[in-house]
Amino acid sequence: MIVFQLIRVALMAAALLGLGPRVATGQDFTVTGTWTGSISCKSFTAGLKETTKVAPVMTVSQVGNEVGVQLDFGGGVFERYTGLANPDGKKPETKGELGLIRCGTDDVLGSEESFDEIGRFTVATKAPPAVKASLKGTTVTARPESVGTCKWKWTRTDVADPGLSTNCQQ
Amino acid sequence: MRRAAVVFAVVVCAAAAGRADAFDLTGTWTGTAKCTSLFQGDKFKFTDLPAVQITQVGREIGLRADYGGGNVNFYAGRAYDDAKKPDEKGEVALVACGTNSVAGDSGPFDELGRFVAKAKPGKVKATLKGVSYYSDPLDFVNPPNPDGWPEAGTCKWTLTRVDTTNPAGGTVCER
Repeated sequence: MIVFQLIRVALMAAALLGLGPRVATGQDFTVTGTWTGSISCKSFTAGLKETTKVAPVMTVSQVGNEVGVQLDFGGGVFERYTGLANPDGKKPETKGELGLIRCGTDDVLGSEESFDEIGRFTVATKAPPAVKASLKGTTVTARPESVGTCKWKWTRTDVADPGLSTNCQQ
Repeated sequence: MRRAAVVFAVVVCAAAAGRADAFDLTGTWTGTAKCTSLFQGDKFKFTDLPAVQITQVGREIGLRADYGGGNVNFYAGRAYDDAKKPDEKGEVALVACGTNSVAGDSGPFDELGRFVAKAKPGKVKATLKGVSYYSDPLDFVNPPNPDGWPEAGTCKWTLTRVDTTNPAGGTVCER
């Protein structure tokens, strides 16, 4: 990460020269709404490769750049994620990225109920009132008996805010 | 009596390791981490050349990545043996110490990676290759931003072992 720190110094210098980074305008993209799609995972479980695919209903609430995600697998089974939206510099109102962390993720691998997951996604939306938007990306998962990679692919079907918390503590 | 003592010692060691035939990544490694991210609206690429030390005890792995200049990151990991050749290869999950599920906190960054490991018994040369995703190195300072600058990135790691001496590091993140 040392090079990254040097980049930040360069960015600060650029800012001082008036070449600075984008300034948030309050019109950055939003991923709030209901989404349909799938998560396809390739995992290494008990020494063998395994492929799975699930298609839960995904709901998302975004407040500022803070994002809360809930996956509804039916039967009362939910998984929650927290994350930050990261607008593109040129088209912040419609494009950008999203980092997501599964609630419960920590730096202890292998504990009995451990399920850690972090991912990076690209987001493409259209200016309001358009509903259509796409969210695609990849996560890494780690559980006591498996490690995996999951590809997420989603399309928004509704922009109504489900009112989710954007953090895992609530 | 001596033979019995030896057998007992082996059993104890095997029980402590938890696995009789498993690959071992312990040692010193060199290589690269090539990363891309989106920071302040722009794409960035950078390459790190860390000196890596790994200690493995059973399934538990501790990794110390030294980038020079006092910049050191610690990771905790877990080994997953291949079903057919558990003593030669498998996969590894690594998580950066400090990782949590609090988005936007100003603490350490969050990072999780999946790696393929190849390490034949008795050989120094071994490889560890994989991809990690990181987020949350929220920067409030460069330049000042009360909301912080979010970021998510991807790093491709390629490491080769150059020494099997155990650096005797920890395998869990310190609190």
